[in-house]
Formats: sequence, structure tokens, C-alpha cells
Amino acid sequence: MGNPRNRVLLTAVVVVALLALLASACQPAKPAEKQSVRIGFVTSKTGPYAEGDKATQSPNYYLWRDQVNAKGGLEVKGVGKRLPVEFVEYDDKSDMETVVRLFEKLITDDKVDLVLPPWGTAHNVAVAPIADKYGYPIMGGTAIALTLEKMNSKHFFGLAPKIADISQGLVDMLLAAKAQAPLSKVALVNVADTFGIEVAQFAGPKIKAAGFDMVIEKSYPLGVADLSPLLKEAMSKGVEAWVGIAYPPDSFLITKQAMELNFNPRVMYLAVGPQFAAYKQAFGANADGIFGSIFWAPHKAGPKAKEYLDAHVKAFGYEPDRGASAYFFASLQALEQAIGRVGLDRDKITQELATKEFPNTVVGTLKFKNNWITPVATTGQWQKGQSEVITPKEAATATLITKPSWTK
Amino acid sequence: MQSIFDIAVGGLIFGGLYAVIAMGLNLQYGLMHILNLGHGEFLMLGAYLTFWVYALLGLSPVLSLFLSGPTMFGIGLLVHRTLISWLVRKSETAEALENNSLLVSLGLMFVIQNLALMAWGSNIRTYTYLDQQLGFLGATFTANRLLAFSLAIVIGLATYFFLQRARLGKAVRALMQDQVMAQTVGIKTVQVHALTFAFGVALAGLAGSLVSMIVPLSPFMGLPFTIIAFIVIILGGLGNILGSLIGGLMLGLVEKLGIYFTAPDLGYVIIYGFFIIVLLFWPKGILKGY
Repeated sequence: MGNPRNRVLLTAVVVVALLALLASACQPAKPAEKQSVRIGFVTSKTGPYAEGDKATQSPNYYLWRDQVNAKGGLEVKGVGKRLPVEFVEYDDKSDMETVVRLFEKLITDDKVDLVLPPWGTAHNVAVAPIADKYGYPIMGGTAIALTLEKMNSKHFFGLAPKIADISQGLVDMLLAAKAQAPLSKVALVNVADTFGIEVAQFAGPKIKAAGFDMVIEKSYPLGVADLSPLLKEAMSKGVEAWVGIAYPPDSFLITKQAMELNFNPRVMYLAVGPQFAAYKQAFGANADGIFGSIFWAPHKAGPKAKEYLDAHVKAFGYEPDRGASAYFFASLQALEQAIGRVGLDRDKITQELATKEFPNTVVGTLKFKNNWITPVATTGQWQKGQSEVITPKEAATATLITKPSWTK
Repeated sequence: MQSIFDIAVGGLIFGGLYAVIAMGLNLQYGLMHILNLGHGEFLMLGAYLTFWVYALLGLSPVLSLFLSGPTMFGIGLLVHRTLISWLVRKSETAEALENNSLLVSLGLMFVIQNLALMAWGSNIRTYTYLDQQLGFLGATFTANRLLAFSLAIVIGLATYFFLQRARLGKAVRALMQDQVMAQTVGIKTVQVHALTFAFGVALAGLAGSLVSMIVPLSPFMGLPFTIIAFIVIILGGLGNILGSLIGGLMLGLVEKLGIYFTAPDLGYVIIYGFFIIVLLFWPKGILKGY
């Protein structure tokens, strides 16, 4: 059948049919009813950061989700019923490229409603621009870096002290120790990771300006296996205050090796590590007198704090750390309140977090000023098995003590 | 001021541990062309074994060596029986075996790490044993380090002499030199392979037990030691056990002295720099491997 006119007709019919099919497929499908609030996050379940994450961060996510879902879910403004929380989670293996790639995937591919932060300063610095780009609010608790502050990110909210505050808290603590008894020789040692480098860069000049004699100023790689040469050097130089801007693997290592060498400085400050339940478990009474950053004194923070502590122990078998944990949980409580007030519109949530107050959290009333939490404890110390806040003065729960000698 | 002697001896102490770790890997590679990226994980398992035995039963880490050695040997036999012999059958050339074992052992590394993570959590564990300070010739050392070093040297020399003098040891070396001729004189290849692989794993486990006295434990502690082991075996000469002993000691020395004269954060730069320089002058390693 070679009739050209038939062929043209046939072609036309096929084309029209295809166009009709295409047109019908393009009609907006009826929007499916929202069944849950999908919240995504990438954390370090494996690798050198895993210890930090498990001690301070992700257990709070699960605790909060379980508590919320036990009530039937989140109250969302504009939606008649409660919506349960559903997590979409990935492991970044403590690797920078992985966290960036997976964080973006959560937003563009998994299309989650909201995101929660990764662990550690380096990772938070990496994902903050992504959060900004797509307009997702994110509240980071294990993130202390000048780089982050300078970003002036609209969507990143800091739950940890700013670099200036942490450094000031450090110096104030040293000055308070000096006021108790003469103290001059200081060792400033930091882990060569974003957090360690930035705090040391900021705190170094401040410590010198306050009149202390900085006899050691060195850094070491993350995951180092042996710091005894550095400790021995500190001993031979008569160091009275060891200021270690350290992360969990090395803060444990330093404590263990200092005990072995019987290195007993009057002040031993280890930025991240002493706050962990595992630290107290590992070193027992020898944890007394050790300083750390941030810190939280649950025994002096009201009934909500005790409730949270007990719930954490019941769910995971260990206490939350005396640092970022409580702030993470409080930030989730704030998020819950924000969603109740303005719904799931991310811009509205960001606006709400930036401008309003959130009462009845485990740290009291949570409030952000210029996207940074205020107020927040900057230095703390273990005393007689309890965690106390030492600086700033307005948040202090106790005065500092001299580190007792190691008991064996 | 810390004496150079103090630093140097500290370097040798760690070097001894590096040597034991490397010797195990060298046996596996030198003999069978198996590149075992999971080597450090066996170290980690040995370390945890000693930790738990000390924490739960109060057994001294020295005695636990008699436990961790055989246990890890058994695990090594199991891994060889299941994974390695299958790999050897599947690989048609030595090069193919090297590549395949690299990939498979990478997977093994993740599996062991995550099993350990699931079993024991990511909490860092540590214990104190023999942490008295001993002093001689102007240097002070923690007793557990000296103990670890002495035991590492004993194990290293025992391994070396085993390979030199014992019948089985000579069989291993014969197979390393010329597999076909060795088979011709009646050496049972498969059996010797299995025993050698298991012995390599046992050495890693023993090194782990020793190291557990000095460093805190975590499921992820293995990889840095795997990397050091690879550097040492190439440095000392692939397949050359004495080379691994000497190479390990040298590396420890260079690392600690280098850090002392420069800065702690240059640790890895010094290790890799030394590695590159040695290879430039002695491409087959210090003692020229096979």
C-alpha cells in the first residue's frame, strides 16, 4: 500500500495521538497528602569522628524522634493532624567529600523537608553553603570556626560558642587559675583539623597578651597514635597549664599518656572529649579537675535537664555528654515549636528561629542572636564527679579547682 | 631539655611494633602475592582481645599474648580457607591475584571494622598496665613500652630464626624463591600457604596486643597501622623478613627523630618523605626483596 496520502494521514494521526498522550501526562497530578515530616541528615557513623558523633549528636536525634512519635508526631501549623517524623540518614565515614555529596543528595534527590547538621566543625563549614543555596535552616552544635561566623549565613544557626567566646573563656579560666596561685608557663597544643587550627590561631595571641609565657605552641595530625614526646617536652619545660585544642581520640590519648608519665599540670584543658560519658567511664576519679569547652551542668539546670538525662540513659545506656548534647536536643525542641507555629515552610521556619524565643527546652529558653545562640557556657570542669560550668561568669555554676594529682 | 637519646629510644620502641606488624604482612605478600589491606584490622582484633581479657578477667596483657596469638592464628586459617583460597583459585596470574586480593581485602577491612563497631561501639577504650616510669642513662620510659618493645623484638627474631632454621620455615622460603621447584621437591604448597597466611594474621594480632598497652583502642585504629606496614615492607624489601625488622626499626627512629626536629604535625610528611628518598636510591628496598 504505497498511497502517499494514506501515509501522510497515518503519520498525522500518530503524531496527534502522541501529543495527546504527552499533554495528558503533563497535567499536574493531584498532590499526594503529606503523611510524615521527612528530616534528613548525614553523620559520621564510622571513622575518626564516630566517637564524637555518638557521644554528642545523633543519639539526640533518635531520642527526639521517638519522643515526638510517641505523641503521634509533630504538630504542623496548617495541617489538621499530627505528622510523624521520618528520618533519611547516611554515613559520611568522617570523610569530607562524602558528607558534601550526601548532604546535597538529601536536598536535591531525596527532597527532604528539613535537614539536621553533620558532626564536627569541618563538616559543618562544608555544608553550610549548601544549606544556604537551597534555603534549608540548619542548627549546628559541633561547629566552632571563624570561617563559619564570617560566612554570615542566613540559614546556619550556631549552637556552640563563637571562636572569640571560646578563646575568651579559655583565657578567663587561665586568669582565674593565676589569681588562685601564680601560673605562667602555658603549652598550647592543637589538633590539625579546622576546629583545632582556628581556635589555636585565635586563642594563642590572647593568651600571650594576658601575660602568660607560651613555652610550647605545636600541632599534631588527627588520629595521631603517640603524643608522649610532646608531653615529655611539656614536663621538661615545667608547663603549668596544658591547653589542648583536642578532639576525642587525642584527648583520650593525652589523658592516658599524661597519667603514665605522671605529668600533673595545674590546668589541663582538653577542648572536646572530657564532656563525654565515655571519658568519665575511662578515667573515673582522674577526670576530676580536667577542663573542657562548652560544658553543661545538668544537676543545676532544672528538672527538664534531669528528665532528659534519664531518658537518654534509658534509651542508650549512657549519659549525654556534658557539652553539645543538651544543646542539640534543645534545638530539636525549638524546631518542634517552630513547626507548630509556622508550619513546614522553610523560609518561615528560618525566620522564626532567627527572631523568636523557645521556652521550656532542656537548656532553659533557647534564643539566637544574629544566628548564634546566646548565652552559652564556654568552659567547664569536672569536680567531684559532677560537671560544672566555669566561664562565662554569668553562666558559671562553680569556681575552678586545681587539678588533683593522678591517682593510680 | 629532652635528650636525643630519649627520643631515639622512643622511636625504636615504636619501630619494634612496626616491625612485627610488617613481618606478618610481608609473609603474606612475599609468599603468596596477597595484598592484605585488612591487616591492621587483625591488629585491632588482637588489641580488643587483650583489652577485654584484662578488663573482664584481670589477665595480664603478657599472658594474653598466649591467647591472642593462637586465636588470631585460627581466624587466619579460617579466612584463608574461605576467602583466600577461593581468590587464589580464581586468579590466573600473580598480578591478577595481587589486584583481586587488594579489592577483596578492602572489603574485608570494612566488614571487620563495622563488626567491631557493632559489637563494641565507637567508644574509645583504654586501660593502664605497668605504667611505672623506669629511668636509665638520662631517659625515662614507661614500663609497658619497654615491655612491648622487648616482646616485639623477641617475636621478630623468633620469626626470623623460624624461617631460617625450622623445616617449615625453610619450606616457606623455598616457596617464596621458586614455587615450581619447591613443589617438585615435595613441599605441600596449599598447606604451607594456609599456615603462612594464618601466621601473618597471628603476628598482626600479637602486635595489636602489645600496642593496646600503649594507645587507646577504637574500631578504626587499624588502618594507620596497615599503611605503616605497607610502607615498611616495601622499604625493607618485599619478601625479605629481616628487611621488615630493620625497616620497621628505622622507620620508627626516623619518624620520632624527625618530629622532634621539626613539628608533630609533619609526622606523615616525614614518614612518606623518608619512604620516597629510600626508594629513589634503593628501588627494591633496603635489603632488596625478591
